[in-house]
Amino acid sequence: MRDPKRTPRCARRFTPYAGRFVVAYLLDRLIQMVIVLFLLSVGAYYLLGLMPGDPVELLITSNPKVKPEDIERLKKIYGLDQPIYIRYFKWLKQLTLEGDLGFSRTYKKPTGEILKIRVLNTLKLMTFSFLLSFLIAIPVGVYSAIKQYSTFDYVVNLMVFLGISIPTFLTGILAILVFSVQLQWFPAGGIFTIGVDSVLDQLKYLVLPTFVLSVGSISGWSRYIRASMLEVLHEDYIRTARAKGVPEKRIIFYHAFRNALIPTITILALSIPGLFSGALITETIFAWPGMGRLLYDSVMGSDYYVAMLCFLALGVLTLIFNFLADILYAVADPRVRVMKEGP
Amino acid sequence: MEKFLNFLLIIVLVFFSGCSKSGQSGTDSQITVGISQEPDSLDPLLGEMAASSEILGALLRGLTTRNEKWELLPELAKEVPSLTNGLWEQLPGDKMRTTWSLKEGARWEDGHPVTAEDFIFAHQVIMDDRVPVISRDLDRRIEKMEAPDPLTLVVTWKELYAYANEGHALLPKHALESVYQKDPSKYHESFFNTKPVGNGPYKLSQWEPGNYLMLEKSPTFFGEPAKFDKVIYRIIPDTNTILANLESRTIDAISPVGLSFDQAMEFQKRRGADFNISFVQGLVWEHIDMNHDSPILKDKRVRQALLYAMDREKIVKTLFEGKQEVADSWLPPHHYGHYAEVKKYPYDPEKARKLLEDAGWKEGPDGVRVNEQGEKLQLTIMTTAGNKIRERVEEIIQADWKNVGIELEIKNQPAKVFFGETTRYRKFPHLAMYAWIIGPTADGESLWTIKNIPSAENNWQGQNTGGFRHPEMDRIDNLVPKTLDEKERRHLLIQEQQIWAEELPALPLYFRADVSATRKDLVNWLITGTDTPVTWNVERWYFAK
Repeated sequence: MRDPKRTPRCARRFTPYAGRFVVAYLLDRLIQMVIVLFLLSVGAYYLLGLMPGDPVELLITSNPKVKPEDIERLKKIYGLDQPIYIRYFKWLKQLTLEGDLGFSRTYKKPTGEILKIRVLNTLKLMTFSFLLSFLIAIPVGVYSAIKQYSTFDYVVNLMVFLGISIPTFLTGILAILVFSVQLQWFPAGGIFTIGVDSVLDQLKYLVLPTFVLSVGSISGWSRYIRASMLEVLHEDYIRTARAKGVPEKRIIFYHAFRNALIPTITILALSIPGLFSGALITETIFAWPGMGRLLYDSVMGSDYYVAMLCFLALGVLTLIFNFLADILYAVADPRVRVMKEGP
Repeated sequence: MEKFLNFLLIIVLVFFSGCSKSGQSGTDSQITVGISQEPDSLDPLLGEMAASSEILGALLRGLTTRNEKWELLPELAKEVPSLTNGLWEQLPGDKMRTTWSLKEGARWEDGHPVTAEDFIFAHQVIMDDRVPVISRDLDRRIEKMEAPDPLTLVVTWKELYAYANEGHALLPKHALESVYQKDPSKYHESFFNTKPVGNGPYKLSQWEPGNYLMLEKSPTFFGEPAKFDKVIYRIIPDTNTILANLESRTIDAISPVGLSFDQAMEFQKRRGADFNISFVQGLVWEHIDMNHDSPILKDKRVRQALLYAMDREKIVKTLFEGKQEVADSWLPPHHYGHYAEVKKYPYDPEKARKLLEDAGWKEGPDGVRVNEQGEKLQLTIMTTAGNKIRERVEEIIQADWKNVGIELEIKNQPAKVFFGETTRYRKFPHLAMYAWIIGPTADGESLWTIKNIPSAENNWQGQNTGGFRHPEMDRIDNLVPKTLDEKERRHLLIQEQQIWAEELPALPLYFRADVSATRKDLVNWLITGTDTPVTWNVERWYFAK
């Protein structure tokens, strides 16, 4: 035990009790995460195994030259002749103890190599779309809440419902038809012009998919921000502030917006893992080699190494950002801060 | 707020004005082809996808090839062995021997000569149990391969096998032997998957995963030098986007692995004047398998009635505008064994009704036929859910059969379940609609013989999914692959088709067409309809001036 008298003054604020609490809290969350990840991997692996149609056996339905003995031999090479729990533990051991991500059966490449390229591509596309959505949705949402029932609000409302209800595959195809085939402003899919290495060129390829991806999220987010802003604007403390004669700008940005942000944080934080998981339909339409398609193709092809690594990576990200969201609450809203006093 | 919106608008306008018309491809020294798949592996032993074989067609050339008329031509070989030229000999004990002479001067892209050893090495790798080569159908019949001199390959076969002229693989032994020797179980993870060494008109210069592959003219090619300096394959998974790319001229051609039949028809109508759209009859045989263990379908008369009662002409006219042909048997018209005079089943509901009456199915009170036990003539059809064309076909058949008193229930499943469970374990009660690929050398051995009925005894292996049993047809189908003379084989196949068309083990529907679209001025783009990729003559492609 330390002698309290000898403890410097400034150190007293961070009492060992609070520190111990933070460490315990972090440890607690960490253990939770490991358990969740373990359960996720068991569940995902088992579900992959439950899917009918063993990938190797399906070869026989498409290739008349594949004979039963070929199937037996291939299953043995890929270890598919063993029961699923043995395969799972072998995979787990390989991943955790040997650090080997495995060699993809369908892509014929090391799994880590495939994932690296795909994650980068997806991150590029999704970050642009995220920023664009964020930058448009917040001002639009706030403004239409302030000017409720104005023409602007009605127009935004209409656009938002269009944006939410028109599916991506339609906006995608329409965008290609108008901007690539008719106007020829932007390329119809791909990530850069072959043989051209310039940022402007790559940006040109980003425009259409970013736009198509953002339509949905702008619509959804601006609705959400508008609603939570409206709710806050009707709170008593806003009325009090107005009665006190606080300038309107300060009311909106200091009192209302900050409070309206709290529920928004959840949505934003939880959509960040989505930046890595990609968007299957948009990626397919715009020939964008990202994670969405990788995940889909690997699950459909029963490519365990690739699919499991995707699942785990997304699992980890979701958990981390969930955790970050919890912390951000505390920053935005003092009421949420959990304080536990020492004895 | 208004200020902010104005600002955004300005940014957008500035950006747009910076984007002029996007890059047009197709200068005379290069061609860009759009393809919807990405190749998995460019190792000829390991690649499984159609896209892989299309790229390999430009990178690697074997002993023989087939042209667009399905004729077998020598490529690396000087001559194709046959019984008449003496290069194909029958040996005592039902064995045989084929002898190949390689063309002089053939080289790998790194300058090493192509020799008979390269074939022997590939055979050794294929037969290694530690290497996940998919099919060993050809190689398992080989007793030994020898190279008396670098340009002569002598293959001794364990058994008589009619299709010994196609399918010998080759690998650059000088580049791969050390990799293979080091650890055969890691062979399939080698550099060769993504950086192959070929001997063809082109060599791979770049592969940007998920994006494109660039092929460059190879100076060491033994054949006619390629006309284009570069062939670029762009990977575009969405088939509508591929079309948009062709229309906006960012690509010059769409690979047969890239366009659906529907899209090609629609495109033909819309832009047929500006682009070449080819429809070539393919090998894919759409049919309905019948479960021959079902008491209803055991009766030949019922099977025939089902086919008479189905207006297949209407199906191909309404769904495909006649661009895919009705199938009369299971062999496509381009197949050497195809028999044109086989028994045909034109739409004839009267004949169908009579056959059903004869089989004991009388008209019931609600229009559905019943037998003496009072059981209704109800059948269930299953196919892959979500396949629009198959679903339309089902609807047409349902209406046609209702007309003659047969009730058809449609029960579709996702492809994985349908192929993984239903057809594999023969779990369909009556009918299953799907397709088989009937290759240029296909015979009925795997599809119609009794030993190929999937069952618990043979570990559910085999492709006679309907469970058809006919001793005479069984005898013929087992005999065909052992008959070396093509004329004799053709004769046997004709006999087989006569029995087939009378017995109807399955209901033939139509042969699917392969489709592709290109710029109007692209010359020598010849799709084959077979598993020979369109790149079989890539060195002769060019744009007409």
